[in-house]
Amino acid sequence: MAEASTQGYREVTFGAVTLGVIQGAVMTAAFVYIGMKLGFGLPGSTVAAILGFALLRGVGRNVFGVQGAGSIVENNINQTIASGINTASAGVVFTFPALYLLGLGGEIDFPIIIVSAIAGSFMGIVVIIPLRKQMIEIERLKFPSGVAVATILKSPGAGMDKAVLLGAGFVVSLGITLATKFEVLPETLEIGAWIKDAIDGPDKGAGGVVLAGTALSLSMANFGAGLLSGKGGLAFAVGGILAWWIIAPFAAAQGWVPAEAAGEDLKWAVYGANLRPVGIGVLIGGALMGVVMSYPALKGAISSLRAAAKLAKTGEASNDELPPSVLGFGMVGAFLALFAVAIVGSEGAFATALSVALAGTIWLGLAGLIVAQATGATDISPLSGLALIAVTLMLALTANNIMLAVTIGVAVCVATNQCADMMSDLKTGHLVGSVPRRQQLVQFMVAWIGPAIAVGTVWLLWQGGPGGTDGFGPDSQACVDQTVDCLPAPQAGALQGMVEGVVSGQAPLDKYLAGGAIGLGLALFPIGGLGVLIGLAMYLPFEITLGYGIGCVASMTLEKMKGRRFYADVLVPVAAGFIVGEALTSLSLTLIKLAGS
Amino acid sequence: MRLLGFGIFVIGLTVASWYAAYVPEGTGAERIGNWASFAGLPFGLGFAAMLLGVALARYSKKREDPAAASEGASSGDAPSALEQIEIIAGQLDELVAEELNAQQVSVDAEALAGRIDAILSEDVPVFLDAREKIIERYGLETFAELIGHFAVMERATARAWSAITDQAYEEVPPSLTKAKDAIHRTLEVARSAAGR
Repeated sequence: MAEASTQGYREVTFGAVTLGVIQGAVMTAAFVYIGMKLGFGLPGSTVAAILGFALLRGVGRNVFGVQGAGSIVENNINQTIASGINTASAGVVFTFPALYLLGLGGEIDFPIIIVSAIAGSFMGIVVIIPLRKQMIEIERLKFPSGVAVATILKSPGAGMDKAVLLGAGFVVSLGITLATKFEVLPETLEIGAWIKDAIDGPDKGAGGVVLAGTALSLSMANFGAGLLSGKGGLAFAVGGILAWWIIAPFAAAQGWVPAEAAGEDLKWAVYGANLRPVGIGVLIGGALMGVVMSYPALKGAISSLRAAAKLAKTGEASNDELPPSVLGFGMVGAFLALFAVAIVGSEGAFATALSVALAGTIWLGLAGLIVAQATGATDISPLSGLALIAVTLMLALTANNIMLAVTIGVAVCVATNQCADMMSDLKTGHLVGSVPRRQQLVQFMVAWIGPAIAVGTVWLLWQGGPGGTDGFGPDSQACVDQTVDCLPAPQAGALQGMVEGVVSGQAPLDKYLAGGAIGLGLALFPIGGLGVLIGLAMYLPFEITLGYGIGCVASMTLEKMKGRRFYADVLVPVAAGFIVGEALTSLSLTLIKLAGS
Repeated sequence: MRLLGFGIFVIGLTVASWYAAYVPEGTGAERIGNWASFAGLPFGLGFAAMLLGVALARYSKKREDPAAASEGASSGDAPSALEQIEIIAGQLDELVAEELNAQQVSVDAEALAGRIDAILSEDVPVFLDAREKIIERYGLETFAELIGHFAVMERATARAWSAITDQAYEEVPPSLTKAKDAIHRTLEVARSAAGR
């Protein structure tokens, strides 16, 4: 007989909060640096959950002798805090450094940028309150990373069989990730190119783009996300087929691509000029109509929050939810913060500031819905596309006031990332039995930390250049000299390009509008989330959607052959192992690479 | 008719997507005008076909569903959604009726975790399979209320399982009681919606 704990069930504890804050702060600074150096973000939740296990459970119990330390729900709180802080890094890295690259570094008003980022961080949490009910409880989206983290948290009690499957998935993923990173295997299987070589196929025109575009990513995390999503993610794979086997060859056949483009160049030309902008439009149109179509559910979600608050008041049930009033106050507060930022940024132009704050708040809610739906179904967040639209919208409203547009863009990006990340943590919490109100409250407590650290880190990196300036960007001295200190800031460079394109009138507004109309039509069809999933598929290269789609089909087939229990007992731990294995291996390799340089 | 609607929708989607991908000359409003003058008509026809397809699919769904819904929101040969809630309620009633205390939980922790896991891994998914049917029959708003209580049950049951794993046995009985209360509230909403 095991000895029962007498300390109560540990959930929100000093240890969990402290460890979460420390991990979150360190990860924020580190991930800002990694983002500036390599141009991609890394998953924080998985790392925080595993470190939490080691530190809260291992050290807490064995070194400090705290009985019951490192419980599953306590670790969920630690992970929620850490990733909640760290989530600001991606939002800031994508937007804020662009101001330096655009030559506006000298005009930056730091308190305003920080207020904007913090407002975004709070708004992201506020938007999640009804969305959690909508996406996790009503729509039952899978949130593959959330499921993977829950599988890790539950592994001590899940039995040896599941632990072995989790470990096996991890080892396979680790092996394949190492093999691709060390170029033993290619990162992408160029299936179309192989077929082209075998049959001496074309490298131009319709056939050329189909062959160049057909590829399969060897990302086990992507495959694992498909395994976890099953039938629910199939529309995403269908969207990839529509984009690369139907739209792309038609565009190439019609000559709507540069005449000289062939092979890989043709693929990326079609992707950049024809598919991606339409995909962004479809995402937005799909999400807009999705709000209209799911209005009764959103209304029901808010009523359900009210009912829960009432039950808690009368003592008939415990209070698991934040009341809907927090949503109202939060939105008003965040709107006022954005308005203040806009008033300062527009030098007192009341009408401009009001329109910017209103549009920013509305767009933020919509973008939150889009990322929540996209990550819920596929684990992929279309952050860059949404940031582009936010900045385009703001530039239009402010008559090309770049400083103000990017400042509001920082808020939108931080908020959107907050939505995706928090929703995944809430899904984990749902699966392990955490109380959502506690998760949301701790996230409110720490929401200001990440933006301040991320903005500060970018400033420090800029100051790190010769003479205290030009510390990053492709034109910085380190990058020109090609030294190891080079921080090219690729994401901010992309936004810089977008801003310059919008200001010079090159934005593909026609694609956004046409895509938006298609998204509206897709969302009207009686299959939930169709607009967002098809839009996301058009927004991504085919290797991602194909790998994910194979995971979906494999999951459906296996579940049909082996039964429902097989999904829970075998597919979930194996897929979780795939996701976690790739995340941790990539993170470790990245850190080793940076340490080495 | 649903198939016809789907077919028209797919054709419309294909045509609209083809012409959405056209890259016009120019910048700003001029660019949009150039796009519209070349691709506007075929795009518009494709978009109209999408809407027609949606209308047909929705109409046929509405016509076909009352028959299916009258079967009691059942999914295939699975028990009805209401019956499934009753099954889960019965299991939780049984667990709570055992009046377990922390000491008793610790004695047979593994078996208890297995019973709880069976609810979460076997019974909950059967109910969730009928999700679409329940929404069609009772509407999204009622479903939102129902699933809100159901989700509380899921979380509390999962918490009981986590507490057993963490050997925090004193947390198990209150979590199971909370789960039981929540599933009975779910049952109330379902019964009232079904008019029973």
